[in-house]
Amino acid sequence: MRKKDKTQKPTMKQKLGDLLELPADLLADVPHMTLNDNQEIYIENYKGIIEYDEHMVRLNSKGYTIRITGRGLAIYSITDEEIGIRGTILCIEFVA
Amino acid sequence: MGLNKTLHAVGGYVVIRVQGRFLERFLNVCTKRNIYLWDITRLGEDALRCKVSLKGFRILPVVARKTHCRVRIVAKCGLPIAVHKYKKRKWFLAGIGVFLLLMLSLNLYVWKIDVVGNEKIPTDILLAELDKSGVRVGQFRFRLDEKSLQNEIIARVPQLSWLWINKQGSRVVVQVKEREMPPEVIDPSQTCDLVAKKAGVIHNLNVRAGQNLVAAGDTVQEGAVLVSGTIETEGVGVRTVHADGEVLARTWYEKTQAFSLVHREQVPTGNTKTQWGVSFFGHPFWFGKGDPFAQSQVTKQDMDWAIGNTYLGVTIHKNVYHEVTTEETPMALDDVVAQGADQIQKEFAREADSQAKFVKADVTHQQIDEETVEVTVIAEYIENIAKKVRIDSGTAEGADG
Repeated sequence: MRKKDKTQKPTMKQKLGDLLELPADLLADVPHMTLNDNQEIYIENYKGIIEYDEHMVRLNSKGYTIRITGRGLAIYSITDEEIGIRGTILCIEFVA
Repeated sequence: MGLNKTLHAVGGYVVIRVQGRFLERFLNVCTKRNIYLWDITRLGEDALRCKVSLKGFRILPVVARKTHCRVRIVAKCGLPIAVHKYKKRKWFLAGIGVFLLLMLSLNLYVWKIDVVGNEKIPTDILLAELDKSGVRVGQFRFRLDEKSLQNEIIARVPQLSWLWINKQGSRVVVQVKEREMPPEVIDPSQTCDLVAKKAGVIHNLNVRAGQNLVAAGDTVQEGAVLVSGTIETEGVGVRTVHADGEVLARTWYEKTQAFSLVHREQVPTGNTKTQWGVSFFGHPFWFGKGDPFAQSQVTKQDMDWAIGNTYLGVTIHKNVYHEVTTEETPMALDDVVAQGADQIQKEFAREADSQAKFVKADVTHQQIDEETVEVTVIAEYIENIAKKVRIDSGTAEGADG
């Protein structure tokens, strides 16, 4: 179960999810990330690209910005809801 | 996702180069408008390269104008593009079409006939019989009806007990099974004589029915009546019976054969030459020269081009010629005579009755010249020479007594 962040008030959805013991990513439209080694990251439920070059990708998502830094980053697939990035990933930051 | 990408690749896509100051905005707008982009690489400060589906590419100018970007086509890929390209090359397409049509039409005919399973009947004769029924090279394939052909050919060739015709594309494989011809058995109710099937001197008679016409010590010729089925008794008259019994006689076999005193053996020298050939629908073409050696042995190999079991009319031939030299070794006279006599006696054993008893053999030899010797063997056997022959027909095929 997800630990509740004291600074963030739990939403109705989260409360319902906790009650029914459902995995968090199933209910909420929070970003869901899959990382393969340090070579590939796949993010669902992102909101848009803020910045992209081969050293850094900044993505908008609900509540915060995801900043991925690395070498030779390329977007291998992009749609409205999902984005896949390949390259050598060095750092993933969540900037509020 | 991977599948989605593959589908797009098949459906056709365009590799584009986008130039502008707000490339991220371009990407965001594209995704909002459901234009699928993939393999995006940044090329520098104000340019990127990416792939876009053909469908998405059509609405791209709108997005480009809105985001102040310039789009340039780098390459076009995918199936529709390829088809479009070849649409212009009409003659190329026509060539493919003609080729396929040719292959197809040529495949309607029989180009090769293989006969398998025959041991005694020569393949040539079977092929001739098949030819009479229409199974021949160049025949229209669909005209051959296996069922009726089988019955037809089996009826005509009595030595066959079973025949199966397999059509494998342009190749017809005829499988046959030969009939074991049974000796004709004369029914005990029919009357018959015992007749000599070989010349000999009567050794012993063991007659179960019939009238003895010969006695031990008599010399008989082939075809002489040994035991008659016709019995004449004084006062009773003539009656006919089914003569039965064994007539053992001494029989002689003689044969003279020349043997070489020099043993010749072909020894491979290790030099080989391979010749390749290809035959189209039964007509062979050979590459290069054939046998370059004075003396050689050849191993032939045929590879049929087939899809599954369907022969496509093309066969690749490989002939490997192995150069050989003949090595001559002189042999002792006694050895040659002994071997020769042995060989001849084995032939006799095959000729004689299976239950014949070997008595003795005389071996003589005569040297013809330095390299040849003539070996003469006279062998004596005791065997049953009686053969049943029907009285009414007289000439009917007999059976072993």
